[in-house]
Amino acid sequence: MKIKVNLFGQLAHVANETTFTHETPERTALADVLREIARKNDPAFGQILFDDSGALRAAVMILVNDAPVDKLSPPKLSDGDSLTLIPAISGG
Amino acid sequence: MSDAITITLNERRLSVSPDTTLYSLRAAHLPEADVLVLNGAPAQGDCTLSDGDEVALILRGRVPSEAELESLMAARHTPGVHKKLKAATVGIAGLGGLGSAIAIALARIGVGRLILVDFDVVEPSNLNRQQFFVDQLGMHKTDALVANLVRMNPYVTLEPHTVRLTPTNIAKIFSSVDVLVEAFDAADQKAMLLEQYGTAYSGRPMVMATGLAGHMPSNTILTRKMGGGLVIVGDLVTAAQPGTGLMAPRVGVAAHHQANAVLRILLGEDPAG
Repeated sequence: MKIKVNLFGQLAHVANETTFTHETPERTALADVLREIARKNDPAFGQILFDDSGALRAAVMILVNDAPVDKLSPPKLSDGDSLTLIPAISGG
Repeated sequence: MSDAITITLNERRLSVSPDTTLYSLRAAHLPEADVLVLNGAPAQGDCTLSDGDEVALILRGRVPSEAELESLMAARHTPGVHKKLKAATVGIAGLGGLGSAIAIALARIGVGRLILVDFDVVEPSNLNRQQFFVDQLGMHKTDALVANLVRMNPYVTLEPHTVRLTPTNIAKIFSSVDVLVEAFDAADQKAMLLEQYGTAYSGRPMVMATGLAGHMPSNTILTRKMGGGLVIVGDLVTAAQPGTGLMAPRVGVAAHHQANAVLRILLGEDPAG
């Protein structure tokens, strides 16, 4: 399946692009899709997404088809879905 | 009334005779007024009014009634704006640098109800950017902000919650809002709020902020519409950390981007366009 990936903030900066299409087998879990994307990029990309234990960082905001993802119960991805990744930044 | 002139008195259009003076106007409408403003400047004495003059008669220290303040606000806003704002409920999660400034902006323009949530107290290090006073140090931010807001607009309904927002209470506390404002400091809390509110109330507008530290150019703070009701303000990259602190000017730029996005959403306009 083809997933349209949209990147913001430091992820876009490290990847040097804001949007691309990622191909992955049908029924690949969201977390695995993120790992696939991280492997294709500079190691800094993966460090923004995952902590040292390999867990998804709490500060990463994920939208699938513009809807916020419940990280404890992420949706199944389908062909043509959009995946938006926004690392939240401290300060307020 | 032949040859009447039209002036504005306390934001209301009024027809008066052409020989009306400022003092006679005061005597007829608000004899006890002790501050007279003519065309934007304090009047130096009596004078004959002209067609188109704008007069404000103020009784120093008197709080306008709700009807009077509404009338003044409605006159300041373009037609129809005030009614929409007065009917709205906005939730503000976090009452620090962003949240306190946003609350003030929304109270001033007459948003009808504000749900204000923060667990924290006012500390000295907050005062470089948060809308509190030195004599409020140690007060809960909810209590301090309510005290300040009622002095700016006593007719906004304020619903403070002095609690820490968690996945177990977010949906309930903000169940009735038209727009939720995220004004947290911690990055993981920002994401948590989006996740909890966004999954509970899919598509409901939420205005977040991320990346607003330091003193980088103001024009690097942007308002982005993300889809699904989500708006994100900030530069998305500048984190608060040693050497890049949070400071009133840039935090204020972001806060007012957020407040303006809320205003535009409430008026049915594109928050970013």
